[in-house]
Amino acid sequence: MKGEAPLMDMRAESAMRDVREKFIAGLRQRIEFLESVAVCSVEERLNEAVRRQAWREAHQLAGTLETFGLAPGTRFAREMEELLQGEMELSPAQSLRLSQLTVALRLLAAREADEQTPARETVPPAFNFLLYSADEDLHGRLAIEAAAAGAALHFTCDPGSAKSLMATGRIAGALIDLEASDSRETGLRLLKDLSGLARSVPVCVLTRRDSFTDRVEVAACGGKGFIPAALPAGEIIDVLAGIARRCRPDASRVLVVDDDAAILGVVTSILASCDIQTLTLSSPLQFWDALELHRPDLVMLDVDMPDVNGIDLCQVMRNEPRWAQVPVLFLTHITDKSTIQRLFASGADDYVAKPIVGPELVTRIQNRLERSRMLRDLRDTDLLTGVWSRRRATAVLNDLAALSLRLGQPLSLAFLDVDSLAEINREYGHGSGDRVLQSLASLLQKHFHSQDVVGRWCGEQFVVGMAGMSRYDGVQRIADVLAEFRETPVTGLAESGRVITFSAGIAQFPEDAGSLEALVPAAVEALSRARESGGNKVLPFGWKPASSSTLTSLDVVLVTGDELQSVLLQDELERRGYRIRVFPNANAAESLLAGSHPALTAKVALLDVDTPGRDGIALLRRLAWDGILRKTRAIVITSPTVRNDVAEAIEAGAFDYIARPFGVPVVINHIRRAMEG
Amino acid sequence: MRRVLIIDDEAAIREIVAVVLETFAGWSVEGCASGKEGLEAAKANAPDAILLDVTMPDMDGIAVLRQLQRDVATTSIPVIFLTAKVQAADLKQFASLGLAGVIHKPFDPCKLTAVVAETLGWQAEV
Repeated sequence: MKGEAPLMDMRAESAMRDVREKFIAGLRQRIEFLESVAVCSVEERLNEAVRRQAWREAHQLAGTLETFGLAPGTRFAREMEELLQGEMELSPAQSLRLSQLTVALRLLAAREADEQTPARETVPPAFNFLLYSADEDLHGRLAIEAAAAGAALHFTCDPGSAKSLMATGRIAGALIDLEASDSRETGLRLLKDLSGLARSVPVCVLTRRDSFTDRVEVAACGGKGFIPAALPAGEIIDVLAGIARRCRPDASRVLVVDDDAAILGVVTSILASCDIQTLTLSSPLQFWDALELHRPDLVMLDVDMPDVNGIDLCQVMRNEPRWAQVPVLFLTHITDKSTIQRLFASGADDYVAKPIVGPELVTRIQNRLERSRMLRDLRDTDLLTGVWSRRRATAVLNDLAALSLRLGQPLSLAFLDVDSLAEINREYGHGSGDRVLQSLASLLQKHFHSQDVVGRWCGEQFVVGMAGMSRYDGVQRIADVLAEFRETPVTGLAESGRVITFSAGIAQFPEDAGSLEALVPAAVEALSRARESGGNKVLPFGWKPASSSTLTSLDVVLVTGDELQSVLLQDELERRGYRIRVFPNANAAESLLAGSHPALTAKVALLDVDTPGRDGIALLRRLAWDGILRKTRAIVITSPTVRNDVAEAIEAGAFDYIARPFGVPVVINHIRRAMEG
Repeated sequence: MRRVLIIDDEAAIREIVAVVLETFAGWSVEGCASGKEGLEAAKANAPDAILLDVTMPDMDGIAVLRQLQRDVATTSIPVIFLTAKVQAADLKQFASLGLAGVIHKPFDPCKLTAVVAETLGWQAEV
């Protein structure tokens, strides 16, 4: 068929390229032989049989090099052929010429081989993963699973070679085994280095420890995932591949569905040259699975296919909101008016007539991709603050929720609301309100890393998704942001001396709600409580307001005579949602806390050793005696005095101690440990 | 469908000829790496034409051609020499051998189909 010609050209071209590559790969050996012949000739020990063999080799090369695009090579080989043809021994000048020619040929072949290599590598790599670990057994298990998933796993226990592997640009994701490295510090340093090398390549850690501080430490070093080493090897590879896929937004993916394998091959080879990853599918029945799995940026459909035709597939795609925006290009050899109308009616964006012409295909695809990328960026980014839009944040939160179920780790969702933004807008103008939002957004982006999600939900409301964090971890991290936010001056408002604050509510998945849809209202409810109780607070879901006089069950009682300290601590703890009551002397506390039926119970009692009246240790002994310490954990606050307070306190039943001087975060950490441990 | 036999000890040449003739012209191409193999294939399959390399070890193209011409089964198959020989004496010798034609190596792969078809007087099917 006449119309098939350009397609045939393309197939021939690709087949010819393969033959050529094979030929060039074999050249080196042939040239080495000729070089050794030249050396023999210079040393005047070239025998007849070798000369004849060399002549034949040169003759063959002369006959082929130009065919494969190496025209100068044919000239060099032709001259060698002539030199080697004679029965007589070569003169020293001829021998010299022969070696010059072999060198020229070698350089030519080497240049050709070099030029071929990058061309091969523009084909987007299958997932290449890097594993840094000293555990060969682990490597063995993961390598098998990686291979099964179509990925390659490169194993190293040397930070230097890990870095050079990363620098090749072919690694799609790296996994650092923190405990099996020679030291945790080496592992963390490598994590930082690798994360800095390639921003779009996720570096995850594999760990047997999982604590809040570990997570924050890893995130601060640029880690994009925290994978428990206890997971089955296959799960580890899946999680890594999922994270790697999420982190590669730049390489555009095109899904091509055609029952003709030749077309799939041609399209792949055309698109590989312009850095577009092609996923091919010859059976339309697997279309839906392929969409879910690969999430292509563009879909190309053959019109006529067995079982289901392309038009049907396109219609189904358009009916599903998730895929309605993905551009669809049709491949068709029928281009009459009614067919084309049917294509567009089914929701097509464009069509490409078969036989496929390379440049036309590339242009059409790139136009579509550029447009959809622009639209996507517009939809994905909040224009005012630069954080993710609600739409994009929701999509990533859904991914994180799935990941969290899989890893058995919590996911915390925080909703933040700038306090009295309407008032700020009214008093200082909307520009100032916008600057407040921008300032909070950039602060959130600074505090939260790529394994978290920061988005603008609506108006003055932001959303933060924290992977692997419990709601209490979340409260602590958001409260840190709040502390910094209060200190951050906003242009146009700083002069007024007004302190700007926010309120936040945090809920945990899957404990507080079984789905993301239900988690949002839970976090928003906690946020409402924070606002109702005066704002400038971060509260976990489930927090109940109560006045301290009527409350009988508390989180913390603080017994100290140090007034300044008690004010500061009470403020900070209440801001984090803790129900706290402060007693200025031990006697008052004792009357409510001690006895067989105390009027007041608390999860944690913070007892200052030096309190007026009865001292802290005495109170502690009384509480121990009454059995109160079975339910309440006591932390004593000691002073650097000569007395051996700590030993005495622990002996009396204290859970922990804090030595003066201390900062508020230290106290909060101790309280958290006591509440959770 | 036209069937062509290529006899050449250089694998790259056999492959490129096959790729080009199969995809551009739609012909079916069989390759043999030596004169001996080539003779057997020619006898067994009776191709429509043979492309024959001249410089080969063991049995060169001229010896293969003589055998083909001597055998009744293959004597009428047109043979084209595919050769890197450029010397006048060689070319003069080729002219007297009863060949359908001579194609010089190195050749341009993109033009090979047209050259072969023209040499054999075949209608281009492209």
